[in-house]
Amino acid sequence: MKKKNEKILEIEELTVSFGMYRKGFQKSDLEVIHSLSLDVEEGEILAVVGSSGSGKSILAGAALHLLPGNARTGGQIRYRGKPLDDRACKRCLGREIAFIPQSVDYLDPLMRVGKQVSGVYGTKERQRELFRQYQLPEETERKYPFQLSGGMARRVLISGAVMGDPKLIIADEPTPGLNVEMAMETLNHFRKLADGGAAVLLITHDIDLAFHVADRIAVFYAGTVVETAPTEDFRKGREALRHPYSKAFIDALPQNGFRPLPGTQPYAGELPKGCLFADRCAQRGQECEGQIPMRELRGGKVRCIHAT
Amino acid sequence: MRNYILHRLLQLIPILLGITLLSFVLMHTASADAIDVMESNTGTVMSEEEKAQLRKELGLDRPLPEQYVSWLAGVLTGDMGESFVSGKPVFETFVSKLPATICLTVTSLLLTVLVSIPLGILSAVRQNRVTDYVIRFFSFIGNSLPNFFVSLLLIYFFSLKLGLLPVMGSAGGWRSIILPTMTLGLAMASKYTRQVRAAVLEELGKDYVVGARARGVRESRILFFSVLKASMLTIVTLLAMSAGSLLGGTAIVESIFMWDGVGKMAVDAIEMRDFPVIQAYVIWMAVIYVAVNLATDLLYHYLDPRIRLGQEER
Amino acid sequence: MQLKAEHLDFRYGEKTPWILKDVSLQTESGERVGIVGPSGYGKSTLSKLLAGYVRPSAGRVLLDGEPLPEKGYCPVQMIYQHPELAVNPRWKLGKIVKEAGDPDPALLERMGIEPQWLSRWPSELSGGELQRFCIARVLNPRIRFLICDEITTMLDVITQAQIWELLLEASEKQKLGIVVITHNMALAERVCTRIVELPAINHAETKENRQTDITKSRSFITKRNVSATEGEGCADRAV
Repeated sequence: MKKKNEKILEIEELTVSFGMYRKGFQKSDLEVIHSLSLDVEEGEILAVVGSSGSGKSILAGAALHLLPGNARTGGQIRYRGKPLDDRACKRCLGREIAFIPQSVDYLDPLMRVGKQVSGVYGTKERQRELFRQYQLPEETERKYPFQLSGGMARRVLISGAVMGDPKLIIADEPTPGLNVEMAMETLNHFRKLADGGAAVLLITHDIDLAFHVADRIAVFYAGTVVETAPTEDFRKGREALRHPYSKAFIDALPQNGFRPLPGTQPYAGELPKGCLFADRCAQRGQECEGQIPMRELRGGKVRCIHAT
Repeated sequence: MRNYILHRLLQLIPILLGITLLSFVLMHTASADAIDVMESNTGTVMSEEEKAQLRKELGLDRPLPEQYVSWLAGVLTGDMGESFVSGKPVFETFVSKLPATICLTVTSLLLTVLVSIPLGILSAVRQNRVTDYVIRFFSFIGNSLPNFFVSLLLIYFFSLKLGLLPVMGSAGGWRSIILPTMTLGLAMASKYTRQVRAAVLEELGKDYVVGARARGVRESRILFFSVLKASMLTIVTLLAMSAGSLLGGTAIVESIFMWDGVGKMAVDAIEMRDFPVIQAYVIWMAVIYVAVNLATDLLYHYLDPRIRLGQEER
Repeated sequence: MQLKAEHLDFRYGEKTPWILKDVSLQTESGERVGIVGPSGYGKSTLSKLLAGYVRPSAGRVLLDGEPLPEKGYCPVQMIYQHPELAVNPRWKLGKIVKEAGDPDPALLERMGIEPQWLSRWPSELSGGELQRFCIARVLNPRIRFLICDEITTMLDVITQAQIWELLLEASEKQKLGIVVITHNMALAERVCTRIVELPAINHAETKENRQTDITKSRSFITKRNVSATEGEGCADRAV
């Protein structure tokens, strides 16, 4: 990969919290994403991996200003060097910026699929072309979302997202429900889009798939990114990785050791001070209770003071 | 589809039989019958022979099953009998009262829809802001005031104080329908504003709205082409039920404004133990509700592709 | 004990295409049989049939030669992919886990269920944590077979390994028979003693094509037998 590509999306110190009523009428903020930083360059696929329900989808929502009203976000989001505020986002969504949602629930149940895919900026011709490309029968455009099978729905959602010629694609779990060939094909399509100059942020829990197409992988834990590293390092194995959680991740793969790391991710309401991973870490010490910044290490980034 | 409608209409038969029989039996368990009521109303004392004579004329001396069967036989041949009180044919009386009720139903539903849908949407879109609070405050008041009180207030202001509108009756032409319509419409609009608000808010919280935003669809477009259509599915059902109860006449409002509709007629008939009229009213109500439910289902069929196409695929 | 499926056929209605046709399977206590194959091949339907959630259009599911009990406790239990849909969102987890009798506190501890989770709502826990509750809920002394339909598909690999460690332990200790439905071959090879594959059929999306498929008889082909003690088997994995 060449260096000095334009950074398409930069997220710095992003925090997201939700105002919630807990214990009666006491209103409190539940912070679900904490000082998260990552960036995606043109021509690159960055995979964000981590367990489902750990807030990865919120990351996508926050970046694109798609979160519900009770969410508060802090930190900076920049698109091609300029702040991506609400208005800029509205201007770009559906054209330069595409979002591929998780499920068919993201389609209007009362509107025909074709109409939704061509959307505001697309054309019928382009929609037909995309349907052919994704092997969707022509009559699909006249169907309603509930008539689609899981795999078809996925392909419809992807067609809708690549309708314009997006410069940035954020895909939230685009592969469940697809068979392996279809999933690979979808990811290969992302690869092609990236090779054509787009930046792809691929949010997934399926690290196997991420291995195949991503250029870099960001490991998501308890609402933040603990390590970003070239995919190469993940393929090499635990020694090439930096953060103890990433190492544990690799060890737990069925094709590797299948060794589970004990313990669970801390609950967003009861986070430890300092390092979020400390209570499951063998190397923890006094020093882990302070602020742990993200730092550069061996061509990647890590949020751990012991990492070498 | 035609089979479906036919099937639904056939269901009317047992419903009608059951409900008329029930009302027949219930009316006869009342301590006083039409003759007793007539006696006490006119204030003249009648001898037992006179009463027996009258009962015989009206057929009230026969055993209950016989009375029901003969009434039923009459209905099946298109004869609903004559009113005990006025002596006029029930069917004609009934038909003459219908236009007033239907007219009031249409105007008050229109008012309800015209007020509640825009306000409900506005309230939902401006959730938890000043506009929303103001709308919710007024809809709360509208909900809590009883109909008779609202009608009296309206009469007081518009008729007595300002002298703009007729107090009661339908002699004033189109102007006389304004106050009853406002009474019914405002109460319902208050209720529906809240319903529309809730339905729109629920739809706005769904994932497909996020999906549409992500595809760059404008907010107003999402609201009017997607959210509103989906919310209407809920509202239509409620409106149909309201239409049903309005078509059954609104006894209180019709009585206060001397609006000569079926509601007032029913109340009068019950007071006078006027069995044939009551029976006619009961039939009317059953037919309305079956028809309204059928209409709602058909509308759903049209509005919701999941129902329309789901059935074909099954 | 033995769980046996004999020539199962299944479809939802008279006019809908067959989802399963002539599927047979046999598994014993203590065995972990993996059923692999891409999505849309009727794996989930098969699991519902085995657990008695739905009845086959033809064929039988037998437990030691007897049909599954129609009422009362069913010794064949099932866990599925989305634990958040399998628990009552308006119940706290303490109540959820007690649904079918009080669980053994030692079991909860072994499951890695923290005591303070019991006073939380399902929405306050992650998928992996909820899945532990779903497993704890079914692991009572009367269970004989457990059907696992893609139960770790939505979880990260560490949680996946944790969950399977628990299940393998139960399988060894209680002689529990497990049917593992997954699309992940590496996982199946890791946890199963035997793997069978739902044969790939020409699965074009159109109904017409599907209907021509049904004429072909489909039965399981045992792809390979992985002995529990052989090579990287899983018997030694159970702690």
